[in-house]
Amino acid sequence: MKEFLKNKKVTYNLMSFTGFKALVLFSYLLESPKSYKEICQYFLEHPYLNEKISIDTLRVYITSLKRVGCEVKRERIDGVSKYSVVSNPFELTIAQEQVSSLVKVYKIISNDLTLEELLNIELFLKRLSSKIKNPEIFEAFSRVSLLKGVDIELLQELITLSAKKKQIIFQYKSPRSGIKNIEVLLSNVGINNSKIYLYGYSKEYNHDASYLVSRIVKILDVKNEPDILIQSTPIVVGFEYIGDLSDLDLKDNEKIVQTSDRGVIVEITSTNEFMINQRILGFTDKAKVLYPQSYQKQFINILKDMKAGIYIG
Amino acid sequence: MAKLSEKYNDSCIKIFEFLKLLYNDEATYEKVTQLLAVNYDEKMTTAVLLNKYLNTLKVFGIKIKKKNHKFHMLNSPFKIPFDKIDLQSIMLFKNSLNLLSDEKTKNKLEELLSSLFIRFDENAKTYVESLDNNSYIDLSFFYSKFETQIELCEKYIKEGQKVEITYQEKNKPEITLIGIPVELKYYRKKICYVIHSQKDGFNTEIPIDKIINMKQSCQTVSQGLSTTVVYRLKGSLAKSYKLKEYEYLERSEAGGSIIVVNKGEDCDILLSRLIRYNECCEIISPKSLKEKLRQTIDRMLSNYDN
Repeated sequence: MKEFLKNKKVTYNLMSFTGFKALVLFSYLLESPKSYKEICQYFLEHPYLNEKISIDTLRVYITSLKRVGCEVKRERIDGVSKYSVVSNPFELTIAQEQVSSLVKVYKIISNDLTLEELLNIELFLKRLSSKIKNPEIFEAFSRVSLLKGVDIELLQELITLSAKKKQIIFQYKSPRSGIKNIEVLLSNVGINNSKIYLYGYSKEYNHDASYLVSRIVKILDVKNEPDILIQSTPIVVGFEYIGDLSDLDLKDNEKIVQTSDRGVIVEITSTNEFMINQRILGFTDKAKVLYPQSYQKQFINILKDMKAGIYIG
Repeated sequence: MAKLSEKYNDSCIKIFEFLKLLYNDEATYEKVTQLLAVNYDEKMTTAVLLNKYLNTLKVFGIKIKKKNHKFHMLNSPFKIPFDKIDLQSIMLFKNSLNLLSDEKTKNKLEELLSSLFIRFDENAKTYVESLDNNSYIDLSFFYSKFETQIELCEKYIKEGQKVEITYQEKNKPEITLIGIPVELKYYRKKICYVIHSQKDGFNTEIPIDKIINMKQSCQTVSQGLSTTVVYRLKGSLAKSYKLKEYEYLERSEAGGSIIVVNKGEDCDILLSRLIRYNECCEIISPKSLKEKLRQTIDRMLSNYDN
């Protein structure tokens, strides 16, 4: 065998020469349709073969390939008859049970993944489904994907534009007012409660706002020079967080400013008080608003109103 | 006599059938030798015959390793081009395998990943090796430190008997909970033991590293484990609401409100969500959840005492 590899001379006893030629032919026909003449030339120039192949032998090989499950096509291209392997038994096929396992893992990890990771998985499975015989198998994944209903190309564009802090106008399908055009100075794209949001400064409302990406129909315009003047003064709210740090998951507009006896002090900056309320309320009794006093007072009132409303409905 | 077009070559068939066995990870010594011996008239020992075909694959560039009476293909002659994004996602799933406690599901995912690994080209292999050291879901800490705890939790789930658990979360008093172990939930940075309390009918997720003491009682429980919570969502929230894993829509009401039914969500997680919905949410049942919500708000308000 070593001698064979060294001298590149075939020793029939040491290998199946026919089997080898069949493998060479198979992989050559996988590349693209080939004519008999091209196949002969390839065999002649092959370092281990150095010989032509007769048309009868070629037919025997092709019949053999068909018997093992290959679909071999013969067609006329530019007036020349060419052979190609259209499908073969080594193509990747994925079983329903395998996809179910994949979906199960995805459901466990998806809430802890970054937007980039979610997007990567989406793109990977999309590409993988184009490379397998049974692409419909991934429908089960589409049903549980956190990016379900999100236009992936649009999402990628929004991420790029947000990174550049661009000002854009987009068409939005609002549940309240129907289709409307919205102009925003972009901040970032992020995940909140398993939903994908576009964050930015709204020209209409003059404060920070968030929009469900799945409701964005299309981008209508990207302005070269932003002309939105941020008129609202951002409010900086400091709160003490006393829960587990692993559950904190700081957002882009948040930072830990110091540690306290019981936990950490986090500062959240936004022009939208509603968004701040939502964030701090979500921590329930693990967060205590420290400053500013005016906001703390307002927050306590929200809690009092909430308590009063529990049994009223 | 067969027509020329129907003639096939036996060696050609055998080499491809051998490859199929390798691709399906079914190439046991027995199966392979049986396959190669068919229609073989010449007096040739099994070992020589086998070597002949193994050499053929080797010359074609396929590396094969024999382990435990089985042949394994180390590289595929027919590759799938995977880019870095694909490989990162594949490794993300591979690193998440430990999150599956069910062996059957785990094996199926392993099968799928193996069928992808075998189709990697050299660049993909090199890139993946560089990624291997950066595990995305790193639960090794939990597995090394809490291995016994995890095994015990799983044992209790299987046995279905009540457990008494004492745990303490950061800055909180010690809590003792009696309930039925439901499942272990794996998160990126923690593992939680889900306990269903029959007293209040809710599930509680306890981070396993917060468990101080755990003992099993001999009471077996056969009742259903999920508590049904019903709430009305109003206003703009009702219009834009996206149902969660544990929920289904009971009905839509004339004024635009919707009635949502939630089964089995962790009580604290559910409350932290409903609190954010504020006046847009009204808990219909059970009354005990309304009471829990009031207690939670009281605790929030007590943060501002003095």
